[in-house]
Formats: sequence, structure tokens, C-alpha cells
Amino acid sequence: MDLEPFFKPKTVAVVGASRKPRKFGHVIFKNFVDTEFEGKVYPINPEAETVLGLKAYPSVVDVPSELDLTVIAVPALKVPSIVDDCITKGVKAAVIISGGFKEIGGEGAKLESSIKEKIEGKNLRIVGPNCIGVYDPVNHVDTLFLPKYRLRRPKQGPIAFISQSGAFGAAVLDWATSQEIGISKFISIGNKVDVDEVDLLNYLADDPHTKCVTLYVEGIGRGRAFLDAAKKALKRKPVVVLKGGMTKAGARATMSHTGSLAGSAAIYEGAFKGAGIIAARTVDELFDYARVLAYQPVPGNQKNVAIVTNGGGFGVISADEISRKGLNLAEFNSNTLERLRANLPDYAIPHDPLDLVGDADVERYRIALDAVSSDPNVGLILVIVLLQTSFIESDVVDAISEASLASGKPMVVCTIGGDFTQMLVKMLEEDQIPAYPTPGRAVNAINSLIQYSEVREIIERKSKQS
Amino acid sequence: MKECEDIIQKALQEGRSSLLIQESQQICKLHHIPTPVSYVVQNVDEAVTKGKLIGFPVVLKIISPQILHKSDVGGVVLGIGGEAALKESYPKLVAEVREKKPEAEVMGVLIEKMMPPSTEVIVGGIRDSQFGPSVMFGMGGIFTEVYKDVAFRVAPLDKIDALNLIHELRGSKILEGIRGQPPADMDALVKILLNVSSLMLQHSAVSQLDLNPVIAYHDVVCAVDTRIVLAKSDGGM
Repeated sequence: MDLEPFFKPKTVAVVGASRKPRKFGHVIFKNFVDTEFEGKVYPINPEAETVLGLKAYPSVVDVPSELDLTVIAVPALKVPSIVDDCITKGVKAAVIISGGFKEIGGEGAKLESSIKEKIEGKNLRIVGPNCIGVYDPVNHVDTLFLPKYRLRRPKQGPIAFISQSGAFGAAVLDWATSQEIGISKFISIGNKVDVDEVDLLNYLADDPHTKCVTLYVEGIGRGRAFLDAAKKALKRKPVVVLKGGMTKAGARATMSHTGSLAGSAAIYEGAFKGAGIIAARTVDELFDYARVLAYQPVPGNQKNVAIVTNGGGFGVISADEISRKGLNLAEFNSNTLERLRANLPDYAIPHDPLDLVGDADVERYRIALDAVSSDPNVGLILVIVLLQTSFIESDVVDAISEASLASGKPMVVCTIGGDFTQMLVKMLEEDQIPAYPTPGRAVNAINSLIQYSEVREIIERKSKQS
Repeated sequence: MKECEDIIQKALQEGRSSLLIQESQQICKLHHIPTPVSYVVQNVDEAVTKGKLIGFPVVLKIISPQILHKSDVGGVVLGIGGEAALKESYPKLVAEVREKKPEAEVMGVLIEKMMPPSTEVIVGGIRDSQFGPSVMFGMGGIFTEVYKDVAFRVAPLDKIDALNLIHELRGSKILEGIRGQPPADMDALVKILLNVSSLMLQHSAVSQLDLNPVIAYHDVVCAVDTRIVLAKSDGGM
């Protein structure tokens, strides 16, 4: 794959690797020096002998080895000549961090087109400009110029995240770290002078570390190619997109009725739906969906939901949300009912939602989850566990994880609360059980998983049809 | 399809940005999109002859390159029940259009079969700047006007896509038959969507297409009004 050098470079040069700790180039260079990055890294700085103890070179062409990746963090005006150097040197991939291009219009736009022309027909691939670049915890590639005490780096996980906006991407990475959410790859694509969401989607479709691809995009340049790439990726993994700027396109001609009804949002919605892309409308949804899609198995033909709860109210609200989404609760079979009646206290009525009542302990959860998850009438399980009672200890996490693994059925958790709850949410996250603070978000996540299972079914039907 | 392209190229050469109603109908017919039986007539006598041939009731529609929204200028008369009514309606139609839009060049009148009422849907085609040729499906009348119960797909569509598109609408239950009404002909609805999809893919000069309404019966569907808007260039693909 031609994008491999961005994520698995053996040799990296950082152009603009300053000796001054606050400079972007310095932070980026330090990322490669400090982490477990296994390749060689070269500082490019014509004014320094060494940076962080490593010999500096005036230009990439002076570097004594081949270069897979070059990170460019110098003012925009200097960038075109560095791109020339990269081409001369035979660099395979470059990340242009620098801003001051198309996003400012005028001269900046001209600079950007000049770069586009330079790489036309050449082997050099470029991410950016005007971006924060690439973060790959698998191979320890980190071009993020924001220091680690400000922007913590998430651990490795199954979710790939492509963001058109650098600031949005950075904020999400920092937040993801705080939530124990792992990332397989992060790419901030900025102005997309070369590598765009289509290239990345094609690449990530084959990436063994990525189980779910998430994207934040504002404009999609190559609409049809994007849909084709998404369709290809969706055969193997879910794709969740948060599209910014979904307001009505004013410029559209409205000579026909169809034209006046075709706001850009309506067409995007139809285009995404047709391809099988899961559309997120909010930042919450983007990761709510990505987590369940990346962590949990896809349900089989049975899609009825069982709710197991220790709080009656949350059970009722969840049941409402389920019917609002057009989903169904499960009807437990006689075997399950018998098991529940025999092993639960009399006051726990064995129907869906299954209310284990406020004094439920972990053992009661074990019994209930085991019975419910082995019922063929149950497709997915929503476990509500409110941790404000003293009957439940943190081993409820084990009970849930074990039931999830044993049944092979998708399981999500709904829980809300303070520090103790947050600790358990992180433990669940470690076990790849997504937890959500409200019944609405939990049920939406369940719905996204069912949506993806339907997408898979359609893909299968289509492959048989053709 | 060469015959369709000839119609489109002729209109473009004449500097028109939309097709005449009979041209739109012809293109639809060539793409197997069912439209009512119709004839172009130039005077009331011809109208009477064709009216008898078609069978009453009939509809009259003004033909003019300057008039895209015919009913706004009184350019449509519906439900003409017989010869006498036709003789009365024809001159009134022409006179009203002349009065409301004197600058419009009237190229004749289209007389067509008046289709009996049934469930109305809207089918459209559009060339989107990001996704290219796309197909719209919506429930007709107030469902479109008030509830915006429409949905889009990017062409090409296959049968599975078309069925999913239909079922995406909140109003699709109506098509399955409610209150004792027979269900609409789903196969025919699917076909019309597939045909619009291939029409939009084949003719890059068609920027927008309206089949509004399409009347859905239990055994057939019919696009009773058709409109095709042209783009001067190949934009969108």
C-alpha cells in the first residue's frame, strides 16, 4: 500500500526540528525520540549541529539514508522548496503540518496549488497541509505538535479516526485517553492536497488493527469514490461518519421540485444510507456508535433486546427508547423463565425488562445474565447497573464480561454516577464492553449495531444477487 | 440511447434549459417509464379527434418553452369529461395562458388521458455536485409539501436499494395498502426508480428530473406529469 510509509516508517525526518522546546518541529521530533518508535529519526535544521543530541542535517537531501516519512513544520512559504527536496530525495510520504495555505485563500491557495503540481505523477504522497498529522500507537508514529501534558495520547485500540479538523481531532484524542478508549490510527487530513478520506478509507479497510473506521468530515471532495471506498470497507468493518456543515446548500438550482427538496443534508443522508455508512449527528454519537461497533459482535438474525436492570426506572425508560427506535424487547422462553423463577427472589418478576430490584448483588446479575443471554429469543443485552447501592461491588464488571464472552451476543451497559461508577466504566471499557450514561444513548448504540448487521445482510444479499 | 440524446441536443442547440412536455414524455417512454397516452394538437378540431381516440376524460396541457410551471399560468385543464367540455376548454386554456404570460410562445397543446385517482408518489432525479446522479422518492401531495417525506439514493440503484428507499419513507405503509385499499404495485415502483437511475446515468445533460406525481395503482404506475431540466455542461459527474 502506498500509504504504508505514513504509519510504518523505518526512517523519519522532521523538517523544522528546532532546538527550542516550544516550537512545533521540536515537539514532533521529540515525540519520535522519546517514544518506542523503532525506526531512525533525523532532525532537519540548517542552523543547528544537533537537536536533542542527534546530528542535524541542513536538508532532507543530506540525510545519509533513504527516507520513508518526512514531517514538515516550517512556515508556509518555505514548504514548496522542501517538497522539491523530498521529491529529489525520493521521500515516500510527507506530512505538512504548516498552515497558511488554501484555508487563508489568495497567496496561500496559490502555494497549495504549486505543491499539488509538484507532486503530480511523482511517488511522494502528502498528508495535509494545515493539519496535525498522524498518530499511530501500534508503530509509535506521532506527528502531533501538541505536548503530551496538554494532549494525552490514547492507547492502542480498535477504532481508527480520520478528522478533517485538527483541533477537533486533538480534543477527541485527549478525551478518548481520559475514557480509556483506544485508537488504531488517527489521521488529521487538513486541506487534503493529496491524501484524502477516500485513500484512507481504502487503506483502513485492510488495516488489521482497525475494527471500526470513524470520520469527521466537512466536505467530501470525491463523493462517488468515497461511497465506493465505504462500500468496500463495509464488507469487512463498520464506517461511522460525522458530517459537519449539513445545512441547506443555498446555491442549488431550484427549477425542479426535486431540486428544491434536495438540500445537501438530504442527499448526504441518502448517499450514506445507500452505501451502508452509519451516520452520526453529534460528537457523542460518533464515539457511542464506534465503541459498540468496534468492541461487540454483530447480532445474528435474532435482534430482540433483553434488559437486565437493578433500577426499575432506568429499565422502563430503556424499554420506551427501544420501542421508540422500532426495536423489540425479547420474550423469554420457558426454560429461561423457569431458571429465573428458581434462582431469583420472588419479587423479581421474570419478564423483559428484567428488574433484579435495588438489592441485587453481583451473584444475581450472574444468574440473570447467564439465563437471559443463553435464551434463543434474545439477540442483544442491555445491562443497566446503577452503582449507588452498596450491594454491588466492582466484580460486576467480571460478571458482565464473562457473560458477554460466554454468550457471544452483543452486550452494552448503561450506568451513570460519580467516581466509583466512572472507575467501573473504565474497567468495562478495558474489557471492550461499552458503557453509556443514559438509556437513550445506550439504545442508540444498540440501534447502530443492529443497523450495521442489516447493512451486512444487504451486502450479502447483493453478493448473491450478482 | 441515441433517440433521447437527439431530443436533448436539439433542445440545447435551441438554447432551451428544459424540455417540452412531449419531449420529456418521449424520453420517459424510451426509458420504459410509463406515462399517459398523449398527442400534440394544434387546434380544437384536432383535439376533439384525439380526445375521442384516447377516450374521455382527458387533460389539456399548454406546450411552451417559456412555461415550466404550467398550472401557475392556467396552462392545465383536468378532468374534461366529453367532446362538448373539450370544445369549451380548449380556447379558454389558450386564451388564459396568452393573458397571463403574453410573451410565451405557444407551440401547441398536449391532450392526454386523465388517469383515475390513487396513491400519489413523487420520483425525481438530480445531479448532485458531490455525489453525481441521484434518485429521489417521496410520498406525494402533503406528505412531500408539509412533511418532506422524501429520501435520496445515489445512482446506480439496484432492486434492493430501490425497495429500501421506498421503505425508508414514513408514508410507505400507505403503499402497502391501508384502510381496505389494495397495495400499490411495488414491482412497478421499483422499476420506475431503476429506470430513473439509468436515465440519469445515461444522459449527463439532464440535471433535474421530476415525475410528479406518479400515480400508483395496484397493478401499474403512471407518471402523469414529467419535467426535465437540462444543464449546459456535463456538471456533476
